[in-house]
Amino acid sequence: MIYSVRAFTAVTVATVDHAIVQLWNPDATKRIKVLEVGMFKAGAGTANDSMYLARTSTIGTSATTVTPDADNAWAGDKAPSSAAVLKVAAFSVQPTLLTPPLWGWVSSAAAGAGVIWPTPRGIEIPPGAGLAMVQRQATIWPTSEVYYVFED
Amino acid sequence: MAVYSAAGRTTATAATANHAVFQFWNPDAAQRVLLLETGFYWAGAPPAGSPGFYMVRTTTIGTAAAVVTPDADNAWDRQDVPPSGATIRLGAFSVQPTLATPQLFGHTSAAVAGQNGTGYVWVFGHAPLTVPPGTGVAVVQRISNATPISEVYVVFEEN
Repeated sequence: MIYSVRAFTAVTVATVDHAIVQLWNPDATKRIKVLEVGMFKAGAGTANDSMYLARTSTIGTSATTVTPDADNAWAGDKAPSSAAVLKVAAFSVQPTLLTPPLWGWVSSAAAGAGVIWPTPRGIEIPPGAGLAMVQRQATIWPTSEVYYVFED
Repeated sequence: MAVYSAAGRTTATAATANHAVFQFWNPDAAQRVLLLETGFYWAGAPPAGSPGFYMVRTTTIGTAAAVVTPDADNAWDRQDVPPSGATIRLGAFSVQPTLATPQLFGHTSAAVAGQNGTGYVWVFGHAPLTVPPGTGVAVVQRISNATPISEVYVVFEEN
């Protein structure tokens, strides 16, 4: 079953490798599969704002959490069985990032700049792991609209 | 068949025509690797003039400034390291890879001040681009303007 979920992040701290948002799979046995991610800046940010996609092995502590429910199911009838959640910046405790990253992007310094990365073959997230969008540089990432599409 | 992706960050290239920005290299003696998608984005001011780039096969690896080696975390099913040992070789290259002409794709861009973040993505939607054993595929600057630091990535598939 396919789900999508979005959030609006708070600004991050100006520190390298700080997470902006993370899709976390808390289940003990189930794997979920990410089919698409998207990110759009709602502030101009800084020239050469760069981010990457990395696997995570700890959840960290996020400012807010979005918990998708049955309304987020494209079939509209069942909450994600994995109980996957979107952990949204700023993080007071960073998730543990695994290297090397899976993908990267550089944004223009303009509000509304964004990117969509479809991954139709699916990036699997094992139980007790996550997939995060992370700022590469020591500059504040502005408030942003973010979303993940995943299969559970 | 498993899908992998990996990303890295180049350093600026020298202002010399036909210098590689980055290269995806298959070092295996027998295994073929299928390139599904690649992209790069400038993390610096655009090159002067009308910066152009092309994608081309390579027959020697050259000497890169840095190397990204995908591991099991880079597998989309998070199971195994790439059997081929494929890597991303990041510019600037002190020894250029050997380019196999004619090239496969090309593009050009306006060099407008403030266009940091300009990027290009190639998706091999018709069929994957096969990278035979002991060869690579590179993105190369066509003209003699330095390419800024860039965020680059590849998506590939192999047995």
